[in-house]
Amino acid sequence: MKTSRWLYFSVFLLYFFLLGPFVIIFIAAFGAESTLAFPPTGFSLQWFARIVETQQFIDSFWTSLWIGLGATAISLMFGIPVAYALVRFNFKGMSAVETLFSAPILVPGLVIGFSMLNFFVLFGRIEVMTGLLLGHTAILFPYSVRVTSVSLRNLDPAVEEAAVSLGANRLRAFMLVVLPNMRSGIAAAFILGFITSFNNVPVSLFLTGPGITTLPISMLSYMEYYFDPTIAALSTVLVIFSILLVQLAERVLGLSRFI
Amino acid sequence: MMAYLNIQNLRVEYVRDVPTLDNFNLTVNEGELVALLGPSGCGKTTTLRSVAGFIEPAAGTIKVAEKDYTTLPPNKRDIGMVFQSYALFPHLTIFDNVAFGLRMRRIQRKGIKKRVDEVLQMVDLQDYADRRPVQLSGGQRQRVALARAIVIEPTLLLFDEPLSNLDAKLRVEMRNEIRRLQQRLGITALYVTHDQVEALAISDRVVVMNKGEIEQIGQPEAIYNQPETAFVADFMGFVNCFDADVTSKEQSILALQAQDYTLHATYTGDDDPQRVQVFFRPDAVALSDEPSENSLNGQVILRTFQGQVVEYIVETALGNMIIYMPEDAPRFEAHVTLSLKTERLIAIAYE
Repeated sequence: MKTSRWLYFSVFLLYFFLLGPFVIIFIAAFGAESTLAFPPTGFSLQWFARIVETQQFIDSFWTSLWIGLGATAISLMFGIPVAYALVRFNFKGMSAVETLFSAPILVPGLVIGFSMLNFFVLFGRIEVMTGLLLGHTAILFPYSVRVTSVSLRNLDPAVEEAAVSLGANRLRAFMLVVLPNMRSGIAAAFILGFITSFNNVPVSLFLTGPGITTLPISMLSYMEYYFDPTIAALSTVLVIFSILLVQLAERVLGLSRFI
Repeated sequence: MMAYLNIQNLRVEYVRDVPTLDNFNLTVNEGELVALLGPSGCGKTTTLRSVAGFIEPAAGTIKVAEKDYTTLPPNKRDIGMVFQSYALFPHLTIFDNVAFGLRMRRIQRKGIKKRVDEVLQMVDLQDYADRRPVQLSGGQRQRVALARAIVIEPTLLLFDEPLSNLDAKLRVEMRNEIRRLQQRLGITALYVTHDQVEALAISDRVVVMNKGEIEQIGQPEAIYNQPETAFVADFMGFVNCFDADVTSKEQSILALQAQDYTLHATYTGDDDPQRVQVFFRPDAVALSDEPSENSLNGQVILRTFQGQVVEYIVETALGNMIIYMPEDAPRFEAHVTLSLKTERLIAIAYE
């Protein structure tokens, strides 16, 4: 009995510290004061209206959306073949390749951002949008490889051989048999990749340029000048957006296992 | 008869200069089902996969119906393969699984429908065409795999331990079904298994393999009754074994001296061996109380009831022997005589 009381208490503490800040932001977003306050004294939706009125947020939202979708798609286009090679073949230097592909997870984002700034902008003179796209593709790549590898590992290699023995060449066997069976892994990698890109600060910080910025960066710069609940309102919207996205993923992926 | 499948001097290396198979020769006649039998790592699966084209041999040739298959890509071989894991396409219906090979051959829709229905009928799964593999039992899945392999009218059928994932009762059913279909369609087949009973029951000929070498090729009866090597004898259940010196040979009967015993055993070789190993099965012996010809004396050290048979472990001067007696035979205790029939004592020369 004593253990279970301690257990409840520690679970409560955990949730309190994890969710508490969200709850405060969520409530403060509906406040009437012009500075962020808790508890708020009145109720108002004006800060939500302010988001839509702020052109900076609208522009950067679209930038983030396109960068997120584009970078995820490109990273998967290259990540799936790499995952396939890592899972199906055994070659010299395989572990080196694996380590190389996980490097962007292990290296601090600021370091990646800074080196990309040097490489893309100063050295390569690449446009801001292209730089952002390439930078995000690079950080998403390891996720694409890892997540799709899991669904590949779960697919019996004999299935592919069966397709080949029935007359499909390697490429057709991959397209007709392997790829369709990786779809839940690909969908999961897509959602994870998109969220990672959408939330990224350290790499974007270095690669955004005049007139082009991502949503998290524009939120940061807004907060340097204003301390009204607009950011709280925007955060609330983003949290709800993320939850919906994950729910959707669960629906689609959960269902696909039974269909 | 012309060899239909002809494997000559096959050499396979997984690791450079370390052959898994070397100088391997095997021929299979048209319409024949040959089982490759052996423990894991004996090279039976390697042989099968070389024929399928999944392994590129380092040397040697593989021919099917006089056509050189050695360097032909696996998707051009028209070989039907049945895998241990069934290897059905999880995302396709049973119909589409079976139709896959026909679609790869660009056969018209109507023709595909007719052919798939026909083959599903053959394996008694006509009512399951719209299901997915996950909705089927293990036995049903393996029947789909069989249907998928035969629908393309393959030049050769390959089975890679197809029954290992099924329970004992289903295994016998599926075994009979595979054999029945193979004979009905007259397809030449190569069948890999590590299960002796399965190999004996399903095949026209058995190839016993060990460490990349063929130990013995023969009809199931010959493999079961007349093993030619110590490995085959041991693998086929000749659990009792002792050493003996040959005193004389008359046709296929050897007179032997094993310690104080003078015994007679069967020997199938043409040469005159000096020293042999003698093998016999637990059911090849009659226990009795009285001394007789061709017999050993022993002491019962354990009697265990096993249903149809009673197992005795008998200590003799030549080692402990395992003997099965019918369940209704009289009970033996302490001293017994093991009467050995000459035709069931198999002598094998020391190499």
